[in-house]
Order: sequence, then structure tokens, then C-alpha cells
Amino acid sequence: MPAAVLSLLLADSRTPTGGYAHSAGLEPAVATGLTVAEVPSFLAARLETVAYVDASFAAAACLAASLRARDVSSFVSRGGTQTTTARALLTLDDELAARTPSAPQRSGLRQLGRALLRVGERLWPDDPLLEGYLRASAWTPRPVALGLMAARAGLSPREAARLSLYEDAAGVAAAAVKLLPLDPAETTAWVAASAERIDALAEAAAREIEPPPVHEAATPAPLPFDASEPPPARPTAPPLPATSTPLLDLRSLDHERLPGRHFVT
Amino acid sequence: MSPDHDHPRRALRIGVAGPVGTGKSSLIAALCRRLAGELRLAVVTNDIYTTEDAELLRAQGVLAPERIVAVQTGCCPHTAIRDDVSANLQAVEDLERAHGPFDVVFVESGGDNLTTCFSPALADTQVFVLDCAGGDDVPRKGGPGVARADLLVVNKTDLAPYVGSDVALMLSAAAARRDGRPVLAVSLRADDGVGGVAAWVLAQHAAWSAGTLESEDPGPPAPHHAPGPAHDHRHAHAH
Repeated sequence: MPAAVLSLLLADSRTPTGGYAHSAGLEPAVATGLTVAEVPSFLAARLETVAYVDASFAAAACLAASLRARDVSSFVSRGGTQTTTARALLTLDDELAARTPSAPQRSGLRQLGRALLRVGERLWPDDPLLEGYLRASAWTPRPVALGLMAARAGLSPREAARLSLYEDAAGVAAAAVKLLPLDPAETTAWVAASAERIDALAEAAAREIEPPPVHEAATPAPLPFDASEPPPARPTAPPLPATSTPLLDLRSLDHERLPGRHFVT
Repeated sequence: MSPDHDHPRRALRIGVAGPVGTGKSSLIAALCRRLAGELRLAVVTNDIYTTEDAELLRAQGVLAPERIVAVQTGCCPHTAIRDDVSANLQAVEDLERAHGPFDVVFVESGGDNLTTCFSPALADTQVFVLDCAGGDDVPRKGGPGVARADLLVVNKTDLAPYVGSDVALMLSAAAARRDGRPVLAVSLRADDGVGGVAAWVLAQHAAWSAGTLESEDPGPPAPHHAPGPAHDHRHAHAH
């Protein structure tokens, strides 16, 4: 199936994945005084932090799902023990959970991820990985689900990261017109103005999860620190990013208790 | 009564839609009170603005609090029950997994307008609720819920004399719209005022359990008279 078209489908808010009920933290921010003029900075700050983390996980999940039966442990920062793609995806679950301290946010990611995978089950009904992940994951957070779906759509990790970042910015923009006196053409222009940054961050997120290059025989590996120790059996990747957003995390806890809220997160 | 081999594994999902303030939550509370001895029940509410409906139901003590959950709809109550039902489906599935099994799960829509109706992906059968205080011309105005919901309830008939509404007119206008589908005039203040709706729920559940439940999607795009031989006059015209 043509990946470019399916990429549009995954980005389309008309695809039934429940995104309309989420504000990407904007509702709690507005509840604590964020103004119209500050929304573009809010959107930009999310891209550099929490959206970048999500994008890196979407890219990692996409890579894992694309590698299929090949060894996929090398990009998992905790490394080493995973032997199958499914295990790699479950490890990404754990890694993301460790970066998501807020229970309401974890719950929101679960809701969005499950809805996405429900669509995935319909698009790729007999996909063993999709089915296996749905069965085995207790959480199915959206970034991992999105990466898996992107892989099935034939997209690259970088494209998965781009989708994730775009969705974050578009989600803020869509919620902004419901929460604040704004022209939707204006908020759409904010998303468009972020395009360059989204693209750069997507490229960076894809680089985060690249396995280090394998040294060729002609250029021997540098000696390990302790020459008596055998070199590691396989290269290990650097940890996935963990740019945290304590204020968003804290506000999400208050938000859950906010009477009259419109949005899940 | 139904053979074990075709007994549905999940609960019957009954959608309850209708404009704001027509008494959807009160109707569900009355149904829960009336049917709690016969059916295992749970409720998902879709408040537009608050969790008030869920809290109202919990406060009435008709069900254990954990059997009532609220879904946030991001200012899109219509979307949440029709175009993208994913959050509601998850809420029903989570309720069943955590506290089930249930016989019936009521899904209450956020009060919306006359075009609101449930997707068949969410509700197996649905009730549309109007009330006398909202004006006796509403059934004549029609809309998918008025015309084709599996049950139309004209609620708060006790208020009719005080607001100048003609219940008989509402019922005849509804009947003209509904092509034989059932309409019930309800006053929850009367003794066993919910009895008629409760009997309908029991009948729907019996049909569901027997695998014979038939429900028509009221959907806004559906023509009033479906073309071709598929148009099914399920009941003899009484009028």
C-alpha cells in the first residue's frame, strides 16, 4: 500500500483514534492562566520536550517493528536481553512508563494507543506483531502504537517521528480553538510555522535510535578500555531521550480533579 | 432460555440520547433502581461539561460507584457516540473487564441536538428521550433519533399542563414520524413511571440473549424511506 497516503491517514484527525478528547496539556495550562499569546510558545516547548520523547519512541517502535525477526536489541537502551520484536516493543513500554510519572498522562496515552491499534487491527487484521503486542502489552501507549502502525504502513522511523510531532502540535492547535478565543486559521498557521522545527526534530529523533555503525574488518574497532575483556557481542545504542516536563506532569494531576474539564488530558 | 452456545459473551449496550435536560440521567437512574434485582447493570456517561451526570447517578446510590464511569468528549459529544466511538468503547470494555460480567451497559450521550444518535459500533439498541417541557412541536420537527431510534420516550408528561404542552399531539406527531416504532409517554414521578421503559429494556435484553435483537441505525444520512425492497414495515400501522 502506498506509504505516503497511509501516512496522511495516520495524521488525519478524522481517523477514529479519539484525539479530539485530548488537549495535550493545554486545558490544564489555560486553567492555570496561560493566555492566547502564550499558546505558540506552549506548542513550541512541547515539541522540544515531551513531543520529542514521544517521537523518539515512535521512531524506535517503528524500527523494531520493521526489523521483524532480525535482532532488535541493539537500539533498546537497557539492551541485551530482548530477542524478539515483541519483547523490544514491551521494553519500549517500560522505558516510556519510566518517563511518564503522571498517572493521568499514562492513562491518556493508553486510551489513544488502544484506539489507534483498534484501527490497526482493522487495517492489518492478521498481523501477528500487532495482535501480539495488543495481547501482551498492559499499556499500549500511543507513541509505541503509532510506531508499530507506521511500520505496518511502510513508513520509516523518521516518518513515524514526524507524524508523532505533527500530531502533538496539531492537537494543541485544535484544542486551543475550543478553549480560547482564537481563529482556527490562526492556530493552523502556528502548526505550519512549526514545520521546519518538526522536520528537524523528526530527523534528530530518528538519529537517536540508529544502531551505531558496525565496524568493518578493514578498520578494526578501537581497543576496549580493558584489553583483557572481550569486546561486547553487539553494539549498544545510547539511551532514548528523557526531556522531562515537570510542570505539565504536575498540572495533569490537578487537571484530573478539575470540575468542568472538557478533555481527558 | 437461550441455548448456551449462542449466548453473547458481552453485555447488551443500550444508548440513551436526546437533547439537554430531557431527563436522560434520571431515566437511567430510575431504570437502574427498577431493574437492579433482575439485571447486572453498569453505566457510561458522556458529560459535555462536567462529570455531573455520573455523580448524580452515583449520589442516587442505585449502582455501586465503580459501575458508573464518565468519559470526557473534548467538547464533541456527537463525535464521541457517532463518528469516533473509541473512547466510549474502551470505557465499556474496561468496565466489563474490571467489574463485569454485566447484562446491560447503558451509554448516556452528552445532551446534544436532534441529530444525535449512536453508532451501531457502540450501541446495540438505542433510546431517544424528549420531554414535554422542551416544546410539543419537537416530535414534529423529527430527526434521526425521533424518527428511527429503537424507542422514543416522551418524558415529563406530568409537566405538560404547566408548560402548555399537548402530550397527545406529541405522541401522534411521533407516531407519524416513526412508522410503527414504539413510543412511550413517561412520567418518572408517577408510580412505576419507568415501568414501560423497563419492560422494553427487558425485552431487548431477552432478544439480545436469544440472538434475535434487531436494531436499525437511525443515522442522519439514512433516508426517511429507504429505497428498494429493504424497507421493512416491522409493525402493523395502528393509525
